[in-house]
Amino acid sequence: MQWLLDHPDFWDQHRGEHVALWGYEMIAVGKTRKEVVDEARKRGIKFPFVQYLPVHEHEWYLGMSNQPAVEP
Amino acid sequence: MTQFEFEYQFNYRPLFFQAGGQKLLTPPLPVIEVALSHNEAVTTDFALIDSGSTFSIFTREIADELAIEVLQGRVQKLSTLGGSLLAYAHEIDLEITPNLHYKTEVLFSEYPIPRNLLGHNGFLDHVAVALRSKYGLIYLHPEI
Repeated sequence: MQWLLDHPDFWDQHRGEHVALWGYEMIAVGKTRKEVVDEARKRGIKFPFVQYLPVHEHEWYLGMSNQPAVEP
Repeated sequence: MTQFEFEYQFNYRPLFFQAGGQKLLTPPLPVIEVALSHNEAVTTDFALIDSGSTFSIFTREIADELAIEVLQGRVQKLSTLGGSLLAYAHEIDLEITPNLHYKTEVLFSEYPIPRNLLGHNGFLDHVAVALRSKYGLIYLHPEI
């Protein structure tokens, strides 16, 4: 996790993308989670840590405290 | 007074977060690693225990990895802290530990979301949970 904290510019350069991390190493970055997981598995890492980097800041809250939407 | 015993214990862990342009880690939160499987496919990811959420919801990218046709599930409109969201229900096998796993319905978001959430449906209705934030400890016991 530390690698991503140490590279804040990476967050802005790769908005809307997924990054796979393993220890202090960035394994892969790509448009889809499957793409980066496949790349990690090619390197023998079966379950890498994957983080989606949202385009907009409010997306960090998406899904939290979810309730069924009330229809108007 | 009713007393409870819990079979499993986990440690809190931080999550990535961005606020005011700052990229940071949250303070440790009740987050556990779970494995989701569908047919022969399996993947793992971290999920935040969110007692304020009605549904357990995972990013659609996990469904794609498990070869689940997201849009073919029952549609559920949600209001959330980050805005409204469309999600689709699918049955998967949720594994918390090798001895604690069950089939349940969870939601997958229409678009990618940065964190998965374990809410009442699909998690808290299967597992008793105690949180000790002071010590960063999560206790779980199956109620399946």
